[in-house]
Amino acid sequence: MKTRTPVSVYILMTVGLTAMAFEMFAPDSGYFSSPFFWGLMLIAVILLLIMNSIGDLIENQNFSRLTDDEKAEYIREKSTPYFRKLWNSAFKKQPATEEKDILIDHGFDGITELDNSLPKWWVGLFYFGFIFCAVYMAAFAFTDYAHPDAELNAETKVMLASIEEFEKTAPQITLESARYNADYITEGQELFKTNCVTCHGEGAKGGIGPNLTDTHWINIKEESLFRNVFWMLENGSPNNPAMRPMIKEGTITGRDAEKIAAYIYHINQETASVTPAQGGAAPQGEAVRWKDGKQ
Amino acid sequence: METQQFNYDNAIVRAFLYATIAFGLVGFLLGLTAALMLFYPELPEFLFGTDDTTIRSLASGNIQGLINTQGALGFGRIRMLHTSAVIFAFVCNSFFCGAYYSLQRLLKTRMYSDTLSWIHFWSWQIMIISVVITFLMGINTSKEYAEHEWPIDILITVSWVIFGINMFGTIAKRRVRHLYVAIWFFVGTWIAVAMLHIFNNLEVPLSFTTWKSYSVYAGTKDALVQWWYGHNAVAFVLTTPVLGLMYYFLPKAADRPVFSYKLSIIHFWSLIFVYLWAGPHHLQYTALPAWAQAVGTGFSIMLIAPSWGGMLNGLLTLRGAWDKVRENPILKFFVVAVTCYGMATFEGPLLATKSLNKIGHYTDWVIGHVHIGALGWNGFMAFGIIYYLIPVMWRTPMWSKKLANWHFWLGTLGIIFYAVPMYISGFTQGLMWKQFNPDGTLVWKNWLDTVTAIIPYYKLRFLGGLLYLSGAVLMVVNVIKTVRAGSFQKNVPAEAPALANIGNGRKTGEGLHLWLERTPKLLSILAFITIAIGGLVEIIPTLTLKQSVPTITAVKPYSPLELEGRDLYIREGCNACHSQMIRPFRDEIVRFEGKNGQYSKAGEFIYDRPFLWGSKRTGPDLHREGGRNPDSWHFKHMYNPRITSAGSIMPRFPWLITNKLNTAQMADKMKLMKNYFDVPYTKAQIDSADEWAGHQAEGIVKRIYAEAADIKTQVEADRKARGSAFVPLEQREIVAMIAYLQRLGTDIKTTQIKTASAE
Repeated sequence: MKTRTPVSVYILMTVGLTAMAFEMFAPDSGYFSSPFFWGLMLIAVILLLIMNSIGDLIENQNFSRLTDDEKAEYIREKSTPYFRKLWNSAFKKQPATEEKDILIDHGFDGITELDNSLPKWWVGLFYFGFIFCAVYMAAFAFTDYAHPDAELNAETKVMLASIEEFEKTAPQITLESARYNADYITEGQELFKTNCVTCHGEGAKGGIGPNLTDTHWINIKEESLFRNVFWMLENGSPNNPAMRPMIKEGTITGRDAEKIAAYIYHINQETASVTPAQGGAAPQGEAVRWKDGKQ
Repeated sequence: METQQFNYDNAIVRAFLYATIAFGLVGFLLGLTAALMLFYPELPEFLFGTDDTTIRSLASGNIQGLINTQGALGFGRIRMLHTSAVIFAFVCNSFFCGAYYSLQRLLKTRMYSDTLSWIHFWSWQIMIISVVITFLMGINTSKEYAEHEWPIDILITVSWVIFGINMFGTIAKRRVRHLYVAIWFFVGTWIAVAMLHIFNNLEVPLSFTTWKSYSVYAGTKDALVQWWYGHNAVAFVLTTPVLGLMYYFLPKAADRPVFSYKLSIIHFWSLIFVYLWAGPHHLQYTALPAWAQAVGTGFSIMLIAPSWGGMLNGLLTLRGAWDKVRENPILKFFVVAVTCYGMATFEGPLLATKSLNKIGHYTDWVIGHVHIGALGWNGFMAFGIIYYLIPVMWRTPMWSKKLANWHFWLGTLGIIFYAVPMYISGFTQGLMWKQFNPDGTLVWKNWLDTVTAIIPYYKLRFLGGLLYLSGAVLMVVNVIKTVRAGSFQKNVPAEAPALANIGNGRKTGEGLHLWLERTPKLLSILAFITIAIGGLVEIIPTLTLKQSVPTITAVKPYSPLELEGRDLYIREGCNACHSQMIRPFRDEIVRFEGKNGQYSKAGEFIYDRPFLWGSKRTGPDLHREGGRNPDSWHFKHMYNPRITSAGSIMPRFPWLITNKLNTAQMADKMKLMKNYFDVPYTKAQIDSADEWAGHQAEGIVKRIYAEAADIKTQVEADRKARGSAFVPLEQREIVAMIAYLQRLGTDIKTTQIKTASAE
């Protein structure tokens, strides 16, 4: 007579598998605080305990029919903890007599095979795979579960809501509300490095994009330099698609643009320009006299 | 029955054994080179020359040296050479070696035909050599693990068919009634590989005198067929044949009976059935129809138990023999191999679930995952088999058991140093890509920042590879010493009674499977049906239904210059590092096209032959690259990526700038597209292909000159220096490449503008 798997293992497995199913199919982890979820778990546990008690009764019945030797053997086996037994079974050699009974020899170059039955947990895993696949396909076919476009819509909604929430405390900066602030220069320089340097070169000396330290500009859309830079960052260049509308595209926010514009203002107006002799790009566009003002 | 005398052919086994060892070393060395180039991209410059004074070089100042290599040492080419060497040269040769050895003994007969054995051997090795040469020259189809161009595909088919005839012939003249489980796996392997190889490599050659060909499938369809193949190359080249070898060599080495015959049966049939369905999990969240992606996930989870059946049968065979494992290096290799197999086949299905695929796909996690399989399972199985066969065939003990143990520990350490850094690197980068600021902008806007963050792990991985390779070198020493000391027996005498003919009908009371095991024809047919079902269900609907790929009217065929540029992109193996597939995630849309952008749609790829979605993003995605960077930026970036992006690990492509574009077959390419694939080019367009291309090239050059006066000065200087040999910039390869890159993803933007103006 074989010893039974302890009820605690069943409970753990049931709770684990249910949680996994919820984790996969529930839209978020809110189920974890729902009383229905825990009610379901409680019912499952009670059912398992009842099953276990019935098992106990049957076990007692069967036990009383055993011979004394078998009883002793059974009690000894039952006193070994379950996981120790499981661990041992991986190394335990089958008794030679048992092996002999189930040995198959078809003359395969000395290789023989045992006719062992399949490990129970493996069979469980096998069925689990089939059931999982069936449930998954059904969920896909009849709900919008695992539909990438539906997932994207949900993700977008959550994201927009969180941005809106954020902007309540930190409103968007626009061309109208942007102001120069000398404290922004360092941060602006960092932002310039991540977003602009590939074209405008180190220190905005120009390269593929124009030199931003000199007096010549291709696009003049605003009267002050600070506003002009902000405008370009918001709308992009009308004549070169590579200078993208970075605010409109969502690469940076108005808040970032305010800082970048402060940095550009600083290197253009407050420090000497990088001349072609120093490795800067030659002036492009027309010479412009910016209206003074840091707004 | 009277006993018959015969000989086992060991000479062919020896040939495949030597090929396994030689190509194993080549494969590892190529892998190590690729790993090195990921944190030392200047390697080709170091070896061949550079004009960059800031780096060390053996030929400093000699940029022409680098140009003369024509990209032979480009990362894209080395990577495909590495994967091909490991799969086709190392693992396949080890399979042939073990199969030729075990088949003869399991069937108690010599191979069906020695001539076929040797034709098989040489055709396979010639195939490998031609792969090396063509890949280094940039001749490839870009389809992963099937990069070979059409003549090599045919050679593979011929060689495989010869192997099949030889194997089935041997089975037919066997002296053992039943087929052992190892042979079921060999049979399944042969059938599946034949089917996969042929269907994935259907392509139309440009002409019978050129290597170039175009896939008969386009875009999404091509992707589905490719990953149906790619996934099952893992299944039927790297898994089932090696399982077959495990079933022979593991019980032999351990001298123990196989744990469970029942398990063998159920895991064999379920494995070959389920595997074929799981291919689409390589295309989660791509433009593949969602139902196919769901099938991929569902069947991947279902695949865990069948895979683990093989692992269990291997490990439990050793039950009660663990004392032997402590003593015997062969068994040590087998135990780690089978454990790695179990780990990889559990990890794979997890990666196939949507939640993990989101983070793991396109990152190094996948690279770590495959190498658990390749280094652990395939490599260690091959090493174990080599250590088993050498003393048996040369009839002498292994020269040094200690050295074999050293090999084992170096190899194991190598696997750990490979896999762990790749997991960390994959996680790190995958999460960096997805991180948002609260204001909705990306935290890591600059792609390069997510690359520089993982460079330290690339270095650790290199160390892992180095350890693994040094272990293999120890094995070579051990093998040479043993071979020198031993005496090889070409023909091994054996005897067995002939098999009585008892008919193919099922006897009363005979177990169903037992009956199958003695009727190879029936077994093969059943295996074929089992294998074919998954492919049929997935591929036929996608191929036949036009609606399965929604067409977008704004998507137009490539211009002739763009077609040429696309072929250059394939030649240089750009898709090894750049994907062209923006998945429907907020972060990818914001990153690659801006917050109002679009993810990649199936209809955008209808003219892509082959598809170029890629499977790894070492560089950024390029599907919306068109118009994002100026033409002159691309020019400079191709010349030296570190000019435009300091710290970039992209290789340099200066030969694109000096080479004249070969336009001799430009019109032929368009004709082929029109005639075979109904690409809507008009006759006038084809007739004026040269003008069309010339016009587009002029535009690009004009823009480059306008944006970058320094390039114009350079080209003018070049004109003066070369005189009549000067090739105008308009006619050089770089212009075609830029034309292609600037075209990418621009069609769908046109749609947007149109709908906007209509409203």
